[in-house]
Amino acid sequence: MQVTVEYAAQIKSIAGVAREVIELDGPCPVADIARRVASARGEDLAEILLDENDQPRPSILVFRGEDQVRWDDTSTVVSDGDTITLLSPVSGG
Amino acid sequence: MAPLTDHEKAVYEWQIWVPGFGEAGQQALKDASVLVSRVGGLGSVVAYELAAAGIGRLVLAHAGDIKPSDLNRQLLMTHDGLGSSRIESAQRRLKELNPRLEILAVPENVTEENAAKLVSEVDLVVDCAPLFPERFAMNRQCIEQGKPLVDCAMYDCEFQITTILPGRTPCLACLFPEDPPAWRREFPVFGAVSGTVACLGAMEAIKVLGELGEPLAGTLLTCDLRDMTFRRRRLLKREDCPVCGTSTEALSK
Repeated sequence: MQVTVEYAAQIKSIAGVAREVIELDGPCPVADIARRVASARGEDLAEILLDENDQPRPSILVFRGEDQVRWDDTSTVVSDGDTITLLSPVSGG
Repeated sequence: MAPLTDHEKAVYEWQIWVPGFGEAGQQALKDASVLVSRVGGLGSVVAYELAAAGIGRLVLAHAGDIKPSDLNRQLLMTHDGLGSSRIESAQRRLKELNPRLEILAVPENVTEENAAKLVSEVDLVVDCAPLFPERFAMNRQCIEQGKPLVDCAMYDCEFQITTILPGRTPCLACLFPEDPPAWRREFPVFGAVSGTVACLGAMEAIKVLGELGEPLAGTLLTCDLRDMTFRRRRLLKREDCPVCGTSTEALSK
């Protein structure tokens, strides 16, 4: 199945792309998406997305479509055709 | 509070014409006070728009002196003010625009120590601070004191904005339960990006205070000005949030 992953703010700068389409074997929780792109795009992206235990960092927001999803929500699965947005916190200045 | 004068009705005539706002909305702005922290790229324009709109009182918090790298976006700072106090420059320029405006100018950034006092001075807070500890301190006080918080943020050509209404919406700690480890105080941005989100932040403040329209309550508006993509994203409240949560676990923290 195919899922579109969008990157926002610092994550986009680190990923080097605004969005990409990835192939998955089947439906999965949102945390698997973070681990998948972190593994594919290298150490810098892994560092901003994942903690030392390979868990998504709580300060990174994830959306399925326009709806925020909690990282520990295993009941929400990513399905074929979904768009997942990974958004890092930003501030003023 | 004092009613609108004939002069004020003349100055604000064009916005008094806005349906749903009127003289009642203008009077609400005159009677209101807003904390803007800090008055940099975001806060300068938030404060300027609120001063222009006829807000009665601004509390401004910002430490330090004007640096060359401020001048691409901090529109209350000027070249001839380099090396002098940011907060004094902000105060002077706002008074030039609106001499009726009452300003409490505080030459400090928001901290855990001063946040309670600063938030207690106002009806609404616009968070324009660059560091998350400052943002978390304002968020905590707004939740405790029941004050609306407009949260503006930016990076590169992108921005994010939401309005936090205590008891109704997720708070900043629901969204970001920890100080983001990768965030740095200095980052790439254009003044036109900070100015854009700042105008939206000022408009959110005007809407909440003037009871106009629908604020971004529980909604994060994100925008990438590189391709003009605007999204309205629905946010989740954390029942176990240590700041605003209502679960047994949250209340015991």
